[in-house]
Amino acid sequence: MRNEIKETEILSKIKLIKEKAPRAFSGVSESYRQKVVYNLLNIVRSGDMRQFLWTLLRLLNARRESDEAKELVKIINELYGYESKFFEKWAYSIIMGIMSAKE
Amino acid sequence: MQKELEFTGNWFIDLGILGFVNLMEEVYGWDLERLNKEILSEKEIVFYGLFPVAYFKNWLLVRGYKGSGVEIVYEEMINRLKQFKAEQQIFNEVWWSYITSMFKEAWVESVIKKLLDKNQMYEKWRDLLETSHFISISNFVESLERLINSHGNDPDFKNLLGKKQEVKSLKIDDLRKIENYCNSTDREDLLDKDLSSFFKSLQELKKSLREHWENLPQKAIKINDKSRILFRLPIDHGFFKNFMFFNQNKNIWEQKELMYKLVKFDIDENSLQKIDKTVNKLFPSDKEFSNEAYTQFSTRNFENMDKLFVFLLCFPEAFNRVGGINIAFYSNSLEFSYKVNKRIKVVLNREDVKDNSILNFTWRQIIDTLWEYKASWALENMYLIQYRKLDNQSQQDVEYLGISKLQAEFIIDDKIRETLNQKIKVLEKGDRQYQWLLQEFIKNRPLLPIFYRNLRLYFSSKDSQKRRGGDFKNTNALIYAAALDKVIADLGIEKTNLFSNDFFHKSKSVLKETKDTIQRYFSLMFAIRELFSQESVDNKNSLAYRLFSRLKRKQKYPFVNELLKELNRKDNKDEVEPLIKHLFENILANDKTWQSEAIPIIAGLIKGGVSNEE
Repeated sequence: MRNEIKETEILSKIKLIKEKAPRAFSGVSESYRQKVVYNLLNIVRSGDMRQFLWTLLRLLNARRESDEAKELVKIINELYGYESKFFEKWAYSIIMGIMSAKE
Repeated sequence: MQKELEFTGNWFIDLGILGFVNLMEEVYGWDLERLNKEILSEKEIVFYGLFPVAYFKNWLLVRGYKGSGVEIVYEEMINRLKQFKAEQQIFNEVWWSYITSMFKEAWVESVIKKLLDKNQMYEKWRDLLETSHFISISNFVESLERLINSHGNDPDFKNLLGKKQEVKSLKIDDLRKIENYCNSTDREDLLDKDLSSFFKSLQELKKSLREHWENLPQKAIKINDKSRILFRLPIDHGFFKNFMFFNQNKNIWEQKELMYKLVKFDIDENSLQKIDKTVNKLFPSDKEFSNEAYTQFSTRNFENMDKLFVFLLCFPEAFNRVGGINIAFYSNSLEFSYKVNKRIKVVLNREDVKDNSILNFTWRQIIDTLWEYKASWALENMYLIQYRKLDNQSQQDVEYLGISKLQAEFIIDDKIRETLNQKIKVLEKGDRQYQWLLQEFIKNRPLLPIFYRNLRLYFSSKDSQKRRGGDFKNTNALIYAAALDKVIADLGIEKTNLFSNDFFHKSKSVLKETKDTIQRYFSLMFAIRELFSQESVDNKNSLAYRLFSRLKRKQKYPFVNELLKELNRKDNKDEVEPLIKHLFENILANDKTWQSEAIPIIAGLIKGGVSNEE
């Protein structure tokens, strides 16, 4: 039972990521966004969680003046402790979030 | 109106009752209502008089003995039986006046068959038969030997029998050819001497045997047991092998006693004490049934059902035989089952039904009847029982298809039924085969696995030129299958409300939900098609194949990855965004039914003729 509660909690956090990400990455040029997404997709496909975080945090660091970006870092920080089985789920959520960001 | 025949809830017995109704209708032309009425007023005549006659008449008819013996005028027979009151009297009358004469030709043939088989010693019949009859037998055997010895190699004789090798023995069919030849030849001088004397002896033998059969004593004379079996109804039965009167070692007097005991349900009789494999191949045998508590599956439990064995004997008659398959429809109401099965029978007789369309026809009849009885149908639990072969050696292709309320709810919808009512070509162990979607659906199996194999066939088509031009034909069915699989799987997940009110009303909302899902899948498919409309067919097919192989291997994330990469290259954000929303909500966050949700994406990429949905 405890495990299930944990899972739904994580799922709700993942949903939150999906909502925050578009705003955190708004105002980015289309070509840059496409490049970032492409890189992240390749990293997540190889399953390298550290590399993914490294790339993602570097991106967010570059946009640290945005409150949304800061919040996103906070959520990722919370999720980071959990087992890697959720990694793909939240990683793809972020990518999808970035993809739906407005220019 | 009081009804004599009612279902019991045990499907073996119930199908037996149905078989009894079918049998009586087949022979006397009475429908269920009439039969009930007759049983109510003349129960003894129906069971001790009409049933045995019908049963053996049908046995003969099924085996092709048309017009053998005396044609019975049933009205006359019934009137005659009305003179008798006692069961035993009625039974005696039909046995010696009708059943025995019905079997005359069959018996004569069976004796001749024994004579044709050289190993049979007719000498031991000497004490059994009157001298004149015995002489006609020995004459026949003599002229038979003479014919074969002198003409075994005669080309004309071989030609007459349609044989190439030397004729060493004759079969019943050969006798028919000889009779036809001799009857059709006018010029007697052309008839070979040996052949004509053989033909003459055959005619005499038949006449003599007929005479003997007609004058059988109604009470057995004391003759040693072994020889008495010459006089028996020449019956056997693949289904009831050796059961009661089918036993090859019972003579006609014993057969009569056994039939009487069976109708009377005289459970002191050994064979009538237990119900097991002998009576129905689908029961376990007494020995195999190791569980003590159930082992004594005895007829004593059914003592109040005094015609139990009549019904069990009719079990095979409940089935319609088509294309090598025996099929029966069963629900918990006799009337409804009777009507559906009657309809199935009528259609099967009328139309040129092919083996693989049986289920289609059968279903159409069931559904049509359901429509007419719409008010009550939902209460019934329905089953389709079919088997290919049942005897004491083997049970072949026995299937017991329960049609759950849920599935029935879907099937009653025209659009869904029509869409599922088709064969899908699949690759099965290297062979191309067809799978019937509706059948799989009724068996409560998921449909998408069929389409996985179908799509594999589509993608593996070596001729790429052909593929470029070739459409994927089953897009509609594919979308429906995905939606049905999803909705049914979702139902399975929500176990928590099993005992709530919701549960009983669920199936009504499920249909609507399915329609919504189908609608949603179609819009998704068209959105994908629109988005990729500028791409070449080859590109789209290649992407579809990559996505499909991910899907088949249940690799969700690689599937998402592959698709996101493609979407990332698209500039028209307004169109991409809803797709991303779908990907996130229905695929990424959905571990149970994401495959169904992914199907419309693949369907949008492969080229196919699809009619626009409403």
